[in-house]
Amino acid sequence: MPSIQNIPLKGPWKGIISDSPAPSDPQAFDDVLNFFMRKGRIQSRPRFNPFLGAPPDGSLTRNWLTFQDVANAFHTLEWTAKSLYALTAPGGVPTRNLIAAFPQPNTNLPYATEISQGQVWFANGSDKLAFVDGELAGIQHPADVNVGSAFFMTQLAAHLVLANTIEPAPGNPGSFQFPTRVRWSKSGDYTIWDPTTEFTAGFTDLQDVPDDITGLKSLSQNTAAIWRTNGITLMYATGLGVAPFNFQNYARSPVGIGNIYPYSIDIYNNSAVFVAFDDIYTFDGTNLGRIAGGLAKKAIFTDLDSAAGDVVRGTVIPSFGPGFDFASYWLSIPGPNVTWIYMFEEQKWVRMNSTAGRLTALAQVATS
Amino acid sequence: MSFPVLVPNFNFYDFGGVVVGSDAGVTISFKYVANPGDPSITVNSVDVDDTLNYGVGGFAAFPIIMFPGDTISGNLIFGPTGLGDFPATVTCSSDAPNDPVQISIDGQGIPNNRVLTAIPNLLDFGSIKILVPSAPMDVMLQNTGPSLSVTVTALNLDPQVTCTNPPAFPFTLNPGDTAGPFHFVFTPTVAGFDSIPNAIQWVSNAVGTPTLVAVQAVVFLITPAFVLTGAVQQLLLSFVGAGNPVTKSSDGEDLNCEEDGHFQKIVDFGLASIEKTLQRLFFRYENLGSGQVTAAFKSTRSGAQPTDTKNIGSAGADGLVYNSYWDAQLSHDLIQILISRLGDTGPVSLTEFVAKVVVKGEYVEGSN
Repeated sequence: MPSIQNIPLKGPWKGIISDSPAPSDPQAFDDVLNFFMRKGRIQSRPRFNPFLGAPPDGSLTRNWLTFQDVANAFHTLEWTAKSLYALTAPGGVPTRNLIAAFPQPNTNLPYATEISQGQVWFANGSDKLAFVDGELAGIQHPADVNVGSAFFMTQLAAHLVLANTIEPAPGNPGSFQFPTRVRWSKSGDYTIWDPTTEFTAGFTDLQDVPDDITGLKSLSQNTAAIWRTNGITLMYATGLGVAPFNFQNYARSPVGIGNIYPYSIDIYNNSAVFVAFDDIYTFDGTNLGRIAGGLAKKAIFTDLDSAAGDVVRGTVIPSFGPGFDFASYWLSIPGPNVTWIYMFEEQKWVRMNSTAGRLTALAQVATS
Repeated sequence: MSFPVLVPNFNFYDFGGVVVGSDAGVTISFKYVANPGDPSITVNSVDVDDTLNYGVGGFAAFPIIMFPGDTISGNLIFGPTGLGDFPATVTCSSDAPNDPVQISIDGQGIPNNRVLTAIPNLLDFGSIKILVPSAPMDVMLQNTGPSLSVTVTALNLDPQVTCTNPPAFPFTLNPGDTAGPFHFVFTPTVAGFDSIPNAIQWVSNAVGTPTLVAVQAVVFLITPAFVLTGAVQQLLLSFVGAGNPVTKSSDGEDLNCEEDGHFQKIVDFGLASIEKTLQRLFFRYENLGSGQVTAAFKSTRSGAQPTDTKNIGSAGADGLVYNSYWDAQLSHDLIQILISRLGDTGPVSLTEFVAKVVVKGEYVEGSN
C-alpha cells in the first residue's frame, strides 16, 4: 500500500498521560481506545463480527483451541464451565457440537490445555485430568489414580507437568488441594503417573517457598517457570530418569516479583508475560523485563484494582489473520470490562472495549 | 498246523496307494500259540527286506522271550520314496518251530493330488480402526482334489487375526467335501494399508500345505468427528456482559470498528511566555473506504472546545494516501486534541498527524 510518512505515528508512550505538558514523544498519543497503532499508522481497530450466540449450556466461554488429530483432521474446541464443544461449519454456518458435559460443580476457571500427539489434555481444578483425541467418544481420563486435577499444566522434556494440584480427583473421598505441588507423568506417556511403578513419574512439593503456585509455563525444551505470587521457581529437565527435574528458585523472597493474577500468564515466542504487584513483566527464564512501566502502569493497575466478578485473563495472539500480523498481549480486566493490549512490535499499550461485555476467551482458531 | 507256532496278525498286507513323501502305518503283531507247559521261545528280530520304503519298529528290545500265549507288537510303516509298486517281505526270526515267519507286504507310491482350497483366499476388511476388532469375515475349506482325502491338522494365525469358531483338529475332508464357515476377526496394530499374505494358515497333508488366506485392510487411527478443513483461520473473541455470552470473530481485514473509539494527546508548543494559536491540524490518511472522524480541541486556558468532523476516504477505496486538515482556530498553547470516531462510521487509517501553530507574541498574564 503506497504511503508517504515523514514521521511515523506512534502509540501512547506506555499509557495515558495526564501530566501537562505531556512528557511524550511529539508523534505519540496519550490515550487510545479502539484504535490500534500498527506499522506507523493509527487505525480503527478491526471489526468484531457476530459469530456465535450463547453456548447451549448458557455458561460463558473459557477457552478456544484448534488442534490436528492423528488423522490430520482439524478440530476447534470450545470449553465452557459446563461443557466441551467442537465447532463445525456445515454450509459455512458455524455450529457447536457437544462433546461432553462436565460434572458439576465446576470451578468455572479457565482451562489449562496442552496439545500432544494429536490429543488435547486439559484441567481446571474441577474434574480429573482429561483428554480428547478428535473422536466422537467424548473425553477420556487416564486410569491412574495418582493423578487428580490441577489448575496449571505444561509439557517439559516429554513429561506432562501439573501444578497446584487436587489429589485425588475432585469428588473423591479425601480429595485435597496441594497448592505448592508439581506432579509429572511418565516420560512419553501422559496416562502413567504412579512413581512407585514408573520411576520417571513423580511429584514434589515446593516447601522452601512462602507462597502458592499461580502459574506454570514451559519457556524452552528444558526449562519451565513456576510462578508464585511473590516469586518464580525454575524447573529444569536433568536428563536423568530417576530424577528428571531439578528445581531452583529464581526468587523466593516474600516480597519478590511473582504472578498475582493466575490467568494473566501467556507466552510470546520464548518469553512469558505476567502481572506482578508492581508492573507487568516479561520473563525468558533469565531476564525480567518491564513492559508497563511509568504511566501505563498507573492506568492499568487502576483498572486492575477495580477488577471484580471474574478472573483477570492474559492472552497472546500472533495476528488477526493471515494478512494482519498483530503479535500482542491482551489483558482482559473484568469489572471495568476493558482489555489492555500490548503490541510487541510497537511496544505500546492501547485499550479495547466492547458493548458485548468483558472478554472471557480469545484465540486464533480454524473456523472452517 | 502243529503247535507250538508263532502266528502273525496277518500274512499279507497291502498299503494301497500312498502319496510319495508321506507315509502310512499298520500295527504288526506276532502271537506265540502253544499249550501251557510248552517251552518258551526267543524272538531275535523282526526285519523288512526293503528298508528304503518300509520300516519296522516299536518292538521291545530283542531278543524277546515269549511264553505260550504271549503277543509282541510293533509298527510297520510304508513311506514310498518314488512312484511305483513296492512289494516286500517282513521276516520274524526266532527259535519257534515254524521259524522263519514271513509276511508279504505291498504298497504303491502315488503322486500327491490332495488339494485343500480356502474360499476365499483373501479377506479384505476394508477400512477399519486400529486396535479395534473388525466385523468377522468367513472362510470355507474344501477338498478340491480328484481322489484323496485331506486331513487338516492345524490352524496358524497371525497375532492380529483370531478365529471365533476354530474346528477341532485333526479333521478329514473327502474329495468335494467342505468345512466351515470359519469366522475370522482382524484386530490391526499398524496404521495405514495393512496386508498380511500369510495371516491364516491351514496345515494339512495336501499339496503345498499350508493353505494360505491373506488378510488386508486400510487401518486408520481414529474416527474423527466434528472435523474442519483448517482453510480459514479467524480470531474468535468471547464476551459476556449484562446479556448472554456471545462470540465474535475478526480477520483484521475490515477496519470498520463497531465500537466508539478515540485517541488523544496534549500538545505543548514549548515556547514559554509566547502566545500561540493552533491554527491548522494536518493529517494524511489511507483511503480504505468511507470513514468519518471528529476532532475536538481544547486549550488549557480557553473554555472554547471547537470540533470539526471530517469524512476521510471514499466509497471507491483505492488505498492511496491523501492529505486533509482541520482548522482549529483555537488560541493559547497547551492544546488537548481528541480525535474520536463513532462506531460503524467506516475505516480510519491515519499515516501522519502534524499540528501547525502561529506564534503571536509575548503572553501577558491576565490577557485572554
